[in-house]
Amino acid sequence: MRRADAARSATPRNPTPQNPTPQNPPVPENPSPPDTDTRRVLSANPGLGDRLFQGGARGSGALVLAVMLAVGTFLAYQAAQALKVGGFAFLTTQTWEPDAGHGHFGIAAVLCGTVLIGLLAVSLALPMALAAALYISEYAPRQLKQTLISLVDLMAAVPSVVYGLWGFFFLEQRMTGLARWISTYFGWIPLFKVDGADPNDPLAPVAAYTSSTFIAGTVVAFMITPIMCSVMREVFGQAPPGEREGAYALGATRWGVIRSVVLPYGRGGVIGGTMLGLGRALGETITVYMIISMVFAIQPHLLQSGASTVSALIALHYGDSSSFGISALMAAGFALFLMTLAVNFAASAVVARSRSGAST
Amino acid sequence: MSTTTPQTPTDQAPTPPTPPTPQPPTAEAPRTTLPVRAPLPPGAAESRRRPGAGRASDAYALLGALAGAIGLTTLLFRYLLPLNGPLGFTVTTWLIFLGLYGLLVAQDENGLAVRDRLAAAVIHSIAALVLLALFFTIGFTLYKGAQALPHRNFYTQDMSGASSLTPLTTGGVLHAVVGTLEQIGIALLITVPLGVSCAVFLTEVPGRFARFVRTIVEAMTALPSVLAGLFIYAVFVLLLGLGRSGFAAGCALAVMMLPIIIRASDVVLRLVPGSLKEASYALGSGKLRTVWQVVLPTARSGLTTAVILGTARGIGETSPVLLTAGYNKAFNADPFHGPQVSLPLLVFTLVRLPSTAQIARGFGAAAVLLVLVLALFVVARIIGGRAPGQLTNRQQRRRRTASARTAARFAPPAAVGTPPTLMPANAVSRNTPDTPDRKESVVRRSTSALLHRGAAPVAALLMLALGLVLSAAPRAAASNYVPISGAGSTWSSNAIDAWTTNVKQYGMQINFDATGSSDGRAKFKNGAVDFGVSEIPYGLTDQGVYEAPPSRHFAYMPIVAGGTSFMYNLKINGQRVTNLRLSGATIAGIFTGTITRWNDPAVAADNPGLTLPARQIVPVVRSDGSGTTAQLTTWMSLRQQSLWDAYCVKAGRTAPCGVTSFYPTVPSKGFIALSGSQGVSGFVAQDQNEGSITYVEYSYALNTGFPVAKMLNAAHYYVAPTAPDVAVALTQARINADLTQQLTGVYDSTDPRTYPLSSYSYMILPTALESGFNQDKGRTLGAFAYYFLCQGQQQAPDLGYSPLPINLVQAALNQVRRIPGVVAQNITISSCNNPTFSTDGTNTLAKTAPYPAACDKQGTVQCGAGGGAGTGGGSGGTAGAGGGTNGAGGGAPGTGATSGTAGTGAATAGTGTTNGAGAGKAAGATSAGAAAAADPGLAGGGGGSTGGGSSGGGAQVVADPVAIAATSGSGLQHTLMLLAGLLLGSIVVLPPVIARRAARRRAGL
Repeated sequence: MRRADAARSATPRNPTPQNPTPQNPPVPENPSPPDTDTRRVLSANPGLGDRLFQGGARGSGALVLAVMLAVGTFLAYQAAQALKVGGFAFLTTQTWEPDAGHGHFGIAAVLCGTVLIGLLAVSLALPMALAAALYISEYAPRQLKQTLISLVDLMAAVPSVVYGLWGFFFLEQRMTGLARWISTYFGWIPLFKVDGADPNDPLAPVAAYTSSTFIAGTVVAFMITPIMCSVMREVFGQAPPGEREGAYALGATRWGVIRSVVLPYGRGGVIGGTMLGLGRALGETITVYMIISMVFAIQPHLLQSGASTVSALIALHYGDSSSFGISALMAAGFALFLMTLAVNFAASAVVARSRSGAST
Repeated sequence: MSTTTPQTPTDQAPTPPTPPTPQPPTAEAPRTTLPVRAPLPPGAAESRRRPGAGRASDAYALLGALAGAIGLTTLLFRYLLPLNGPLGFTVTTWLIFLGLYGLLVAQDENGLAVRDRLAAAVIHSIAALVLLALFFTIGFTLYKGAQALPHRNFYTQDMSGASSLTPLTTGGVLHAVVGTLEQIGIALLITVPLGVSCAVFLTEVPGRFARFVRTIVEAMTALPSVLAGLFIYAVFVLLLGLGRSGFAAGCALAVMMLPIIIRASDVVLRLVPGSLKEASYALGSGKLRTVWQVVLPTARSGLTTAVILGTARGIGETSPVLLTAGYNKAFNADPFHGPQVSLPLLVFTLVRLPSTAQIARGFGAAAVLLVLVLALFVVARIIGGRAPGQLTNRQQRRRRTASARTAARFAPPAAVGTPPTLMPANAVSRNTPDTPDRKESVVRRSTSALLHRGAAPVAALLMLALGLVLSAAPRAAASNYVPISGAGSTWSSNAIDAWTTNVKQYGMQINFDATGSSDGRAKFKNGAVDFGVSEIPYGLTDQGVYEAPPSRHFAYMPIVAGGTSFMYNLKINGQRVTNLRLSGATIAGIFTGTITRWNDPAVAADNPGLTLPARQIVPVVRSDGSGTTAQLTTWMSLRQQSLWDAYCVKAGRTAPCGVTSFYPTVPSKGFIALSGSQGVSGFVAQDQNEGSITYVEYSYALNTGFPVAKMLNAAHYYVAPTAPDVAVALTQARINADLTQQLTGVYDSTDPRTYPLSSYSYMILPTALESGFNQDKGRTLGAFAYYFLCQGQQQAPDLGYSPLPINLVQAALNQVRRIPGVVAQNITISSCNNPTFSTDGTNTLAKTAPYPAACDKQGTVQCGAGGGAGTGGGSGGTAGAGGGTNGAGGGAPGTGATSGTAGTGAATAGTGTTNGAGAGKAAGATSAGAAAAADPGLAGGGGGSTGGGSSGGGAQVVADPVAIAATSGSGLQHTLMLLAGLLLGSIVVLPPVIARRAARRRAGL
């Protein structure tokens, strides 16, 4: 069952599978006494084919490396021009008017917006993904399990533009009421405050609640849930059956088993999956671009119209920018890349250290 | 219990089964005593206990809690608490359900079990929510797409014949499907060989270098897809000047997919059991043979899955394609030349258009995309459903026969040994018989196996794309025109779209990408397009930066005139306002954030006839670089300088602000910034966005059936941006030697018919053979220009634009001759049916333009009947726009009468003064009739007249809805409601709890 799970899932990630083949037979002992014989030098003489293969493999590795480094260095190189002009102010400036020169363009606002949307999405997606993963691995009837796994993997493959459509045409109209409600009753929390919208004014425009971080974050949350869920489910499925059954034998309820065996075992997977989802959320472009209205100021009010992310900024201004503007966009993109890179590496480090092993 | 995974044999391996050795009996008494069960009554069979099965009481608790929760919530929502909405209902029900369920379970279980049940309930419901979201997302797309999907033309045509107003029976997504397949094919051609061989390198040639490559690849999986697009855009388009194409998009997708595929393949390859490889080495084969015959075949299904899932990921990516492919409406099977749209990009572009037909097409395209992804996914499931080395039945059979044959061959010498069939099936099947004499056939077989099975879906995709290319090739070659591409202004894109649709019949394929004027100028400058369209020329200084003209040779050519209008969405008492009037200062106040409410005295002073609500004004501005913004800010910087500069400074720019293409926004002012005229007008046209106003070309308001504000001109008349009024205004425009415009005269024109924000839009033509522009393209562009300068102009008023006057057409025709490769035509201008042309050289349209009605003069009570005629105005406009001479024509066909009684009243008022709606104000009604003829878009509203306003149709709104509801929600009321709710809760919950406690106490005593 377990092997079948790992195999049927989208990308079999389990690097240390149970060996399906019988163990190698023990090597027969060398019949001749070792001290009388001179030590044989084992030097393989690879044939032409092998040498070609080695060369070819190394070559393709080098080619991939070259491409990847080219992307990275090109971004960095192009960004350098803008960074030289922008200087340290690039990190602290909120407006985006690269052609106006030093101090007029920076990523403070867009980076904050990106992080806000990412964090909001993850905090909404985490309980959903966790519950869905637990359901699939612990509660779902055995006949349903495979179907559910496929469904979640399918969800992960649904194009982001489809989620964007759903968010823009369906969710946004239905979320404004909720946003208004939250801001009316919880507006005293700075995060939920909405400037310029008086909750007592029945004619207050809904527009103040549309195109907000909240709505974009919610849609992105639905988008990253399946990715997080499939990582978590895989790790939960690997929880050692011995411990599991031991807990059951000691009289634990199902929830008790989850709390004492499955979750501790899968902690690495949960954290790793969450980070992976965060990385995805930070880089998401089209869904966010379709929903938000760009503002170039740090916008901590989640429910208020107006948000910004780096990738939406790029999608918006790549065409109408001057060559210096493109360089500034590259710099912003490079900053985003560094951020997602840090998140990804943190994820793989956490997962690699955890008991469940490197499975992302 | 039922779901716990059974142990696999290997897990038990370490503990050898020890035979149960009975302990020797000792003197001590045994510690464990087994309970002695009472013997069963005779006849009763021992029934098997099912530990996993639920009891009836569980189900009762669940259903009871659910019913109780729904009932309680209904009670709360209907009668007690000021709550409403389905979302609130669901959440409240859920919370109450959890509480009740916990209580019910607690009746006969301990705390541990209660927690278990509650956790199960929470997990089940959230999992259901997640699944529901999936079904909703997919179902919503299919449901919305169902409108377009049944038409067969949707799969066999491209979009070149379909504009915003064409019904769904024309136009389709074939071009995008082909584009998607070709682009993903190109990406796969790059990524599959490179990715798989790199993964092989990582696993089979380990070392420091491989570790480094793996780290870098891992890092690149974090690369946001938009950056992959930006990279290719910068290299291909900006650096190499190749222009946007399907190939560039394929490369961008490849950059994005490569790390994903490498990583997934790497994981799969690492799963190949080491013992297999060792066995292969032990048999004396080298690295190459081991990889080729053991590793790759073993991991085949996993590799295929990796590739297919990478493909599914890539096929749905929009952002890299957005930057690199370019949008076009026509079929383009050549991935190397010209823009080539793909499905996600088409979806993204279409759904942002303010047209229901286009949105339906967008959803249809999304559904097609979804089906494509689904199909890929199912294929991946079928192929990848097996573990590495696990074989299909067919493969197993084939392997078995092969090994039987081998066994037979080896039979005489190895007769005593174990027959191979007794070895574990897996091991046999994977160690392909590998004797030297069969070497060739084995290599050939595994090669063909790889080709036929592993890469089958990829090959099928490519074949399909190729087939489509071949089938489409003759179509493209049939005409003597070549496809040309342009980009730029969304201001004039409605006209250009109509023209490109019309010239399709001559075999011309014009791909125009409406991405904003700044984008068009930039694209023309870097040679990405053959022509650009912009409202403003190069060489302006925007935010202190001089925009240098391109190094390629170019000329400006006016293409159409029009009015930058103020489209708004405002209702009074539920009826749409269609006769809003705004003065210049008010407009500037609104768009600089100093006027924030519709009932501001300044707005009220312009509209004495309207009781404006205390609703907040939501100004919607352009977030991209836009010629429309430039037109508006040119006017603001010249005529409303103090307001504009004050705003600019607040937005962090330096005064004087001057002209800008990028509208500055001040956070927390309540402005909405969206990209494209489509974006802003689409936002305003959404019913929920009441109170919003934006600036777009008049055609956008006309297309969406929304009203535009009449603007006060220097002659103190409020005028709408209709074709004649724009024509009158532009008689005052000064035209420079290079045909660019100076509009100060237009702003100050004292002709009462002037619409002050009128302007021309320009095409930027190439005048030299460079940046990929050739004679053939010149011939096509020239023919296209001849078409729209002559025949195209007569369509302009219908579309919401104004035709060019004769002198500009003449000048423009001279510019066309400068296009290299053009086939010069001698156009007799008088035969063009341009409404501005006359025999004596005057501008007919301007000369015959009707004067504004008296009620349009500043200070009078405005024309029109308040509200309700919105849709009437819109559709009436399209119906009667052509002539503009028939007095009743503007109003009477206002089919928008369905929108309400006021609409009917307004429409009939135009036809006769005896009508009751006219209420005896004969003069008013007749003049309004004239106005109706003058402004087709506002005909419904115009027909109402002042008389209609006060007595007919009952449209004059007196009630002020703000005063009614603002006082609701006083503290006492809320507290009482809350108390009532709490009381209800305690009535339900407390009795059983108390009873139980009492019972327990009694039992304890």
